[in-house]
Amino acid sequence: MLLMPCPWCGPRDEPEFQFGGEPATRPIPAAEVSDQRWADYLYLRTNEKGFHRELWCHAGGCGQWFLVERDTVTHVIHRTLKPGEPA
Amino acid sequence: MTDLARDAMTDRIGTGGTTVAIATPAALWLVSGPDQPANTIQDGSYWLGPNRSLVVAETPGPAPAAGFVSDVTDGYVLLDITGDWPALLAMGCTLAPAALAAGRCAQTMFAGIHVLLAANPIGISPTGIRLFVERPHAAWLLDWFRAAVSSLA
Amino acid sequence: MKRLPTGGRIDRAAPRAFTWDGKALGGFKGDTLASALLANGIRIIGRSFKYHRPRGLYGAWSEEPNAIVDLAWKGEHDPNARSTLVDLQAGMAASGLNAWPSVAHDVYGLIDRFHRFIPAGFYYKTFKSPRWETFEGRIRQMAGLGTLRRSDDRRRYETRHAETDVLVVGAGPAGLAAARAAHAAGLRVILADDRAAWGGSLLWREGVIDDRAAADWVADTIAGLDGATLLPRTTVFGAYDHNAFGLLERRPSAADGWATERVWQVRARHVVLATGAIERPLVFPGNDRPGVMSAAAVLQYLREYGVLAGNRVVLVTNNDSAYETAHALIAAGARITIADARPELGAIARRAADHGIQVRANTVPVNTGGRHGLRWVDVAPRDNLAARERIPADVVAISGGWSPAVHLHSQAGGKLRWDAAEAAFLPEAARPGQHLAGAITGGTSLAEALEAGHHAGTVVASTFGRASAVLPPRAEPAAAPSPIAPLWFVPVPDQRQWIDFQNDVTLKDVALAARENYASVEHLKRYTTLGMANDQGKTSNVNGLAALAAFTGREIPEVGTTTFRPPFVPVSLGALAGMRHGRLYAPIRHLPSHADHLGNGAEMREYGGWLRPACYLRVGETVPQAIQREAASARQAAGLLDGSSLGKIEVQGADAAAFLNLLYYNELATLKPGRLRYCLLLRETGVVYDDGVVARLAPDRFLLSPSSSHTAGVLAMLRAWHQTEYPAMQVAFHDITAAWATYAISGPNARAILGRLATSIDISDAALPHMAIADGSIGGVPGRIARVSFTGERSYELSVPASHGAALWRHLLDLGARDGITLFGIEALSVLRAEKGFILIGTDTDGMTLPVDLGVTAPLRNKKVDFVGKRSLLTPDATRPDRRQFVGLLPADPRFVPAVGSHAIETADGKRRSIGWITTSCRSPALGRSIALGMIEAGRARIGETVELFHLGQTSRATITAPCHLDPAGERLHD
Repeated sequence: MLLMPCPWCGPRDEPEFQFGGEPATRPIPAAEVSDQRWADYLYLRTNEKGFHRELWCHAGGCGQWFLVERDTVTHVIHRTLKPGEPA
Repeated sequence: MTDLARDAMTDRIGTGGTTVAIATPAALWLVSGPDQPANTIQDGSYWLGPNRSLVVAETPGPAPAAGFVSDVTDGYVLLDITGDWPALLAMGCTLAPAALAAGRCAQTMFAGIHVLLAANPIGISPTGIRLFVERPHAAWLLDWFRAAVSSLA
Repeated sequence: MKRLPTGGRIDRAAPRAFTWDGKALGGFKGDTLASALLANGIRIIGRSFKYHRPRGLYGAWSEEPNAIVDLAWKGEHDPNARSTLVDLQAGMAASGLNAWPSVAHDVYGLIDRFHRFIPAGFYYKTFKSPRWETFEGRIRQMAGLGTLRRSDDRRRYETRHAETDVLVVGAGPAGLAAARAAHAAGLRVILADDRAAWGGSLLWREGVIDDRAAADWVADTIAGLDGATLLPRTTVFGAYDHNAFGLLERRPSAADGWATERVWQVRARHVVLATGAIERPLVFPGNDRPGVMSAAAVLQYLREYGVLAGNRVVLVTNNDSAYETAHALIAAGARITIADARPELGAIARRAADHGIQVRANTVPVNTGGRHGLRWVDVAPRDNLAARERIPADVVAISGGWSPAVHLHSQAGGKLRWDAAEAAFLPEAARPGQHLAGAITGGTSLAEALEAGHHAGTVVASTFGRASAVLPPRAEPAAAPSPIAPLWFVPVPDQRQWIDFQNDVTLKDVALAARENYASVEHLKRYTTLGMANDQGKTSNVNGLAALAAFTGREIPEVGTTTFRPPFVPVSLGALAGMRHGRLYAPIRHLPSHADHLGNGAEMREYGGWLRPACYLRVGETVPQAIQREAASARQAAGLLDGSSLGKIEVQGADAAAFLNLLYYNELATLKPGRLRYCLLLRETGVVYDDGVVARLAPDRFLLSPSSSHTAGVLAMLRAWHQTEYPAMQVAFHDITAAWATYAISGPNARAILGRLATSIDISDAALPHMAIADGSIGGVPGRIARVSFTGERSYELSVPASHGAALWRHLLDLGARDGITLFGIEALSVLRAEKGFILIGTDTDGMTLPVDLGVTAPLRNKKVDFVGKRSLLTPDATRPDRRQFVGLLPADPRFVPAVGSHAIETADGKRRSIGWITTSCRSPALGRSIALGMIEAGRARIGETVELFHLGQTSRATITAPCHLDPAGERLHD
């Protein structure tokens, strides 16, 4: 039951959020994207143990998406970033 | 023909002690336009997200002038909760009472429903909190409050 | 065993009568059910799970493995009541479990004679043929605990959420000292202890703190915690991420009934774990005989409840702690002999001898005997096990050492290390935000526990920048105890030695598991079921893994422990549900006209989180009849449907059109203001997620109508794409679904009925052609009318603000009465759209359906701009010619309605293969026969072919057709 720090609403309980997985850059235009590249975008993520970047949405609150840097082993949350915020 | 009648939801739960009553403001609008600090209430404008708010008019007046405005007066039911509201809050959601200090509001999941919570507007007494729920969920939520208030007795 | 005339915390002026197996007995206020049974001399309280061996009380609290009983009181019932945790109440009726006719004389006890044939794991080896299910019923009857009654559970269950600065778990000396220090620093404190009274082990152990009796210090400390949240009778059962904890509070009922169970979810900035330790049994032959009890429990029964467990007590131990029990028993008038496994005993043995207690060093138990309960125990020197001495006894009080209660620490990811000197798993460093104090960290004197607790409290306070304003509580330092001598089992071939009492697991079972190479401690657990009963191995886990270590030639730390998981004690499902049952199980949405629907005889059902009319039943009508009648009326005259649950999302902004065109499959650039378009919304995988109507109200303003069950999902999708992919686009979204009521009038008479409506909106065909929308006023309030059809008939959707919905509904019924207007529900709507071959997302489509499968291909060919899912429509799999395609089917027998899910079968080379299935199937009132829709491989190319259908062993035939079975040209839309 993680305590997620929404950049707008502050720390809230995990059930208020939706998990969006590792972010991936959307390859465009469609005509120039190979089947493999597209499949990787849809289904392949690095999924590294430990430090992990992932998207969360505060769906049960303000409805905003943000990026979280979380350790998948210890659940320590290093920081959060609003979309567009420089890393 | 005469105009279509208005079906105003009325309900009141609890006598003395802890009560839940339906409040009926004059109008409500969803407004996408100027921003305000997150989770604050400013002049009847309740922050919902960046550049997005719910504007509440306690008395009749014109709609907000700026931005993209949608009349949602009939879309929400407002419940004013007085008495042991911290206990009801603790039963329904994980929000700490401190999040509802004067001038602050918060959206959260209450009894499994997405709601907006705020301290009672100034001038409304006794002090307590105000809960905004989408109209279709109001009947079920009022049943929930009936069970919750009776468990406090 | 007997009740002493004085002593204990019971109230001898408040007797409480109860029954045990029908026999009338008496106890007192302050008793547990277990202490009352013990005081009444009841030796056999249960029968073991597998072998039906007689079992008696072993422990005094939540570690108790044997004394689980059936409990009835005040019309409610608990099939598995743990008698050590039940507060005795007058009128309780308790009885033994897993026996017939009674636990005292159990016919199934004969099973034990065959124990050699039914060791651990015998189920897997024996009941294989023909099927396990053949035997399961009988086995369940003969083994197990508790019988469930079928009556409703009317007990009260509550939920609370809380957050705090520090949660202190355990109100023994360490926990109380920690809470006191933190509270004095001004922190918000929640103090939880699973007992009704405060003090933990101080409730039965003597001590002096700050120069006064421990009991007084406890009372003063509690009184000083004003403002703190004090939770007695509360078990902290689980530790979760980020210092979230689950607590189970048993609140005494105000109305003298069963306790209310309240589950707390607490988020603590810090937690102090002062959970103490649990005494381990010794493992020796016959150690499960009724009368063998935990030495610490014997002390508790004496000091807390004034019950002397036995008159001739043999204390068998390998450590110092049991000696306190011996002294207390002597003072109460019992005769005591101590058999201590350790070869050298120091001062502790001398003090015992001074008190008149016989102490034998280097002595271990080798056997017990006695029918219906203990009568004797054999002891022998540890180095000469053949030289036995028989000592008559009615109680053998055993102590094999102490296992720190590290459950919460481990659940939170904390590590353990084996300490050979203490013969215990001790916690390694506490997790961040967590602190450990007291016996949880290993052997601790009272003085050390107080100091550690106080220290933990001040450390927590300092993280808040505060200092504690109180001095640490002090007790006399104690002399260091003599070391424990581990005695994991006794190497004699006598009768079985028991490790897990509750699941009937013996030393031989552990040896068997080792022989069969179940060498991992996790495999040992599952193969033998050791530690899997509802006591979760509190008294068996360490003994079991120590035995496994011995049998596999490893050291104990190499074997390790199994994973700790919540809950620490069983938590009833009712408590976890709280208020969430019956009508309050899950939130549901009501339509604005809900009351009217009920008044009209509606059969209400849940559709996508909304309560909607499935149909409206007339007197004497069945549901299928109502559905057919409603669908027929809608085509013959006019039908009225409540469509208020359909989503309504307003989208506005300079980039609204461009943004929606990036999201939707269909081309939206060509949609003119005042017009509607039926559109598909895809996922990035190309799969059809939602269908709905998009209305353009103005160049920069749209109204989306997602399906009722997908409104939230569509809004979430719009927001996600805008925020994460196209943040620079000027567009905003308002979900106004709840603010409007929407009703659809459909049928040949629809136009005439609407003609009588007082509206400012021009509904002539010129002004409002099919797929157009206009707004104005309806009945004096703002309104909208859209001309769009889900039935294939001329249809109008009227929308007014929700508070006027009920009035409009009644008004429309009024207006249409003379034209035969009929209410119709969701089921009839489904029949009408099936006749037209209109898809229902999630019914006709699944998680793999692409637009091409539905025959909607123009946007992929013509739409120039990118859109969500576009690239997925160009993959080899998306362009396979044999993909399943949406088609219609007409069963050969017009009266036969095939089941949804029936497969279409193709036979090739003698092999049968499914080529698709039926997704919609019903009787069509318009056609007077059965019709179906389905997804069939290369379906469009098969139109005209006959195919075999197969469902649960039955076959039939059907012809593949185009999906639309009625009016394919759509002429009825304009009639």
